[in-house]
Amino acid sequence: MKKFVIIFVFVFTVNIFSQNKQVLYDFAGVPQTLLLNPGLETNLKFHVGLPFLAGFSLEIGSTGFSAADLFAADSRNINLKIRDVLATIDASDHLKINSQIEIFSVGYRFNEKTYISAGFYQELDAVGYLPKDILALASEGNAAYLNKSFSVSQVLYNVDFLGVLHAGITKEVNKKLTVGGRFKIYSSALHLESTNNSGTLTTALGANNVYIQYLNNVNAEFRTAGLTKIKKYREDSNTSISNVFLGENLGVGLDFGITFHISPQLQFSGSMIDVGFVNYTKDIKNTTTTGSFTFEGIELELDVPNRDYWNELESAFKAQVLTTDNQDSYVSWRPIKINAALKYSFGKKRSKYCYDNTFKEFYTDAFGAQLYTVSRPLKRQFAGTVFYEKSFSNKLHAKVTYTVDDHSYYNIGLGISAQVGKINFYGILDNIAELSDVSDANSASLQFGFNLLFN
Amino acid sequence: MKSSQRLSLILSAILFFSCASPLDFDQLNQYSPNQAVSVPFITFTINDTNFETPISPALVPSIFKKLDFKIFDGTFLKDRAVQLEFDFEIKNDINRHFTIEIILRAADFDDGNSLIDGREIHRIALNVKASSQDFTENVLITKAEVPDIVNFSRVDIKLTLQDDMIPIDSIDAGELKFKSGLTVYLKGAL
Repeated sequence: MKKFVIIFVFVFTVNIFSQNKQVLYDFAGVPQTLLLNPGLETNLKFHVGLPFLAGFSLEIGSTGFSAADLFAADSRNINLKIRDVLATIDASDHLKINSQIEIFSVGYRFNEKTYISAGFYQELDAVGYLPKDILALASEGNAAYLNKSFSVSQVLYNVDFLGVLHAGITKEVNKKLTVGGRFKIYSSALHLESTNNSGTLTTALGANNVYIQYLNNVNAEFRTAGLTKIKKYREDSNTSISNVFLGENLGVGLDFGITFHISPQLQFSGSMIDVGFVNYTKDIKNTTTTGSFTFEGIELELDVPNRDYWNELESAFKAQVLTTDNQDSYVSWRPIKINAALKYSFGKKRSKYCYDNTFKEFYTDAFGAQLYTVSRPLKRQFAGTVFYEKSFSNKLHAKVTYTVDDHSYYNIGLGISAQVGKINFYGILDNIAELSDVSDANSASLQFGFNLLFN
Repeated sequence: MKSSQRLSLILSAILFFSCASPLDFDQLNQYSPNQAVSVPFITFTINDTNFETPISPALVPSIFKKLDFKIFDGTFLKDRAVQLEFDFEIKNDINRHFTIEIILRAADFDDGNSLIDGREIHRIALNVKASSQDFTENVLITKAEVPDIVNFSRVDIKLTLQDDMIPIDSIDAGELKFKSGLTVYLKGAL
């Protein structure tokens, strides 16, 4: 229980967060790049992703501290470690976890200028900001913090476990411009969120009594959808797994993307992903707490006999700070991700066999810069990347990236894509500078996948 | 060396030298935060007229009030409290000495016929001098000394004139303001 509470507070004190896949973006014609920008050019005749293996990605990250800061197997007392971490973090620090598994993925060239792709993937996406005030209050109490206002607004998290059924189209408008779009149906199995909370708790030295406590303008809401079915699944593993993987709460979304050749060697591409929402209507339990309360202790009135002070206090608190449960449906917007990239190709010219029985020329080397941003509950987050991409042959490609984001100023990523026969494999490791000790890293991510490619 | 071989070598080196320091998540079982939670306690104001009967004035030597204070009703605080610290601040404008007793009791119980006072767990006695403007007292009660202290859920307050044969006259009149705070020290798992 203790472990659950602490891990919940630290890890699932969690809004939809999506992984920045800076290495995979526009990498070597891998079909999964179309999920990052449906307007990227592709040379394929058709592709089939290996079921459950077409695309796997996992990213775990934190700001403010690393796993080793808390859990290193050393002789330091865990109380001291937690105290030190609490002293280091601030309310903008957060934890995130994102995992995506492509259940199936297919693509087919409809005509010379049109490629259609579709698939279904499962995503667990969670981010939680660290409510420093609440953590300090829980671990130390209020006695050492007289006159300090503990902010309820720092409670900010969102967890989503959903399936995404999608179909997209990539259309070459002319030799310079390719555009694409993707329609998505979201099917959420579990959603937990608490955002836009407000209010403070303060204990101060009082005038009418030794202490005075204020609960000021508290307005907090905790939304859940799908919890009952998750609990049923945990209690009875025979319950259909489809309850977990195919939720009842549905939503829709769109992706947009373009590729534009400024010159034969200079290319701009950009995309806007997950412009959509999920409408939560089933298996909902929301809890709201609103109100203000001032407590100066129990004031005895010597002239009033047999007064039930304690019940009066409880009643006054319940009347002034209302906590209610409801099953109201709600809408949660997906976090919109924006990718933009400028890519300059150079080096030797090679040619590869294309879907239309022609050979397309390409350069063996490229470098450029990418920008990624995602909407977040607290503030929009950004990541800037410079990259170098190298094609060793028509079948073997590599890409190295250097990324600056909230988690690291020296995130070096490396990806390879290799094709043996019709089977394509890609593998990507991020933050490799920290691989010498992953537990001390603020983030770690990997992606890999297998596809059958037909040119 | 061909470029692809160089790439393979680099990848192999990265993967070969990558590792993770051992992590021990079971440490959380030893996590035992020390918390101190302060809350306002009881306050009241009396004046000299409270010490005489209203109709045919006669001295009332002591005043007694009881109230519930069920801060330890749940198991969370009860299981973790290791020490209670009471802070008292009293301003006595009445020119008489008082004894103020704070009696911490277990909950009353019903024997079937009547409600019986809960047993006395601890008694704090404060001797407040006449016209004392800044009386303060800090009382620490540890669970080691009074294991039952976390079972108090009722508080009796008794004010007694130390010289209870002499009525308060108008020259000694005034009021007494009583303030108190309670800090509960906790230790143990969340």
